[in-house]
Amino acid sequence: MQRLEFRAMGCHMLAVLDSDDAAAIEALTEAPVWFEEWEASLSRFRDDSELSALNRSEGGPMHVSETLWQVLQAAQSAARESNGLVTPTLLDALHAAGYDRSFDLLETASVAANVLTPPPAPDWRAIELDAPNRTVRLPHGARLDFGGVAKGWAADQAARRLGTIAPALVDAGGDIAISGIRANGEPWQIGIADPFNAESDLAMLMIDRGGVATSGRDFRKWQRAGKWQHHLIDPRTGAPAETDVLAVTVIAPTTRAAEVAAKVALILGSQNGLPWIEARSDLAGLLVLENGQVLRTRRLDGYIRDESPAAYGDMILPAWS
Amino acid sequence: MNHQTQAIKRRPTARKSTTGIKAFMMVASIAMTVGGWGILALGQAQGALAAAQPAIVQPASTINQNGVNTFGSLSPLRQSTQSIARTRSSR
Repeated sequence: MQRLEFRAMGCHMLAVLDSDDAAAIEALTEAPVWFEEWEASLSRFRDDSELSALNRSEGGPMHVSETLWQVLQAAQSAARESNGLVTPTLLDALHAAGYDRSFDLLETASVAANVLTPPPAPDWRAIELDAPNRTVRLPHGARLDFGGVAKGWAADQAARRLGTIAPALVDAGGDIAISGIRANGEPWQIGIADPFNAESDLAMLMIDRGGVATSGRDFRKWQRAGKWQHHLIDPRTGAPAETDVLAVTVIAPTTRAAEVAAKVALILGSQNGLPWIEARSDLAGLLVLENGQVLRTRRLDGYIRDESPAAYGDMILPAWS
Repeated sequence: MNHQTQAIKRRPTARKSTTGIKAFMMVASIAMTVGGWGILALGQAQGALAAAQPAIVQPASTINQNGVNTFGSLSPLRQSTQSIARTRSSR
């Protein structure tokens, strides 16, 4: 098994190929190049990125690359699936919350600035995509940030490409894509980090293929005028989501879908978020609440490493106990 | 005669006592049976409720301290298992 770790998109990345062939080693070295290309196109923190150019287009049509086109389509799909809870039109809301530079710089920046009134989120359905000409027209005043959708999309793309060489796993800052079952026929083992204690895991997942992603407000948070802010914006308010959920992990057919579902459940809160995941037969999830409780959907049981079923059953505390 | 009379008088007294104990035991038996059914029904209702509601598990960070019904029971399993990657909020 070959591993390669690197930084991209403001996150720690890991690419793994379940092979020791020379071709596998060579293929792994391509992964950072792909991510650099994608980041150059999709980053909102780079003035020279294609996304920044689109955000400056002021309602005019703009011909875009295949990368930006695909991620725009992924973002629109995410908005549809989430009934608008995950929308790409939140850049100005992020700025209002203080997230106006990369997170590495944000930690050292002044936090004494005033809290700005969040602007209403522009309607994502007003983004015009012209497929034959691959041009995009943003509604007046709309500026985009792809956030986790771009990261999930990139993980899926990288895993698919590497998967042509050997079974592959790509971890994009905690959002993980898996191309297929391991060479020895075993599933991949994925830990779910405890948001209260980053060094320990809440559970161990066994995944053959697809994606797993975690959205949380345990790490990307900052203070502004004495109030904690985080990067998960509720488009209904334009402000960081007020929720009883600290972190959500979702398993889905793709990392992009897992990322979207995790964000929806976090924004909705535990009362509505858990049923939202449970109602979708291709999802399984685990919610960590701010009060320390951990909720999980029934389907998660099928992914938990469980050499001792009795021990796993013992740890269930029904809601009425 | 007196003795007999007293003896005769004693017999009904003894019967009354036995009858009282038997009646008490019958009532207690019925109560226990009904109570058992009640407990059984409550257990089934709770089971049905548990099936209808999402399961709750406690986080390792808190459950490890009480040691009962815990994720902590999986700790040896986790310790013996090496994950290839870990999912967590973006970092």
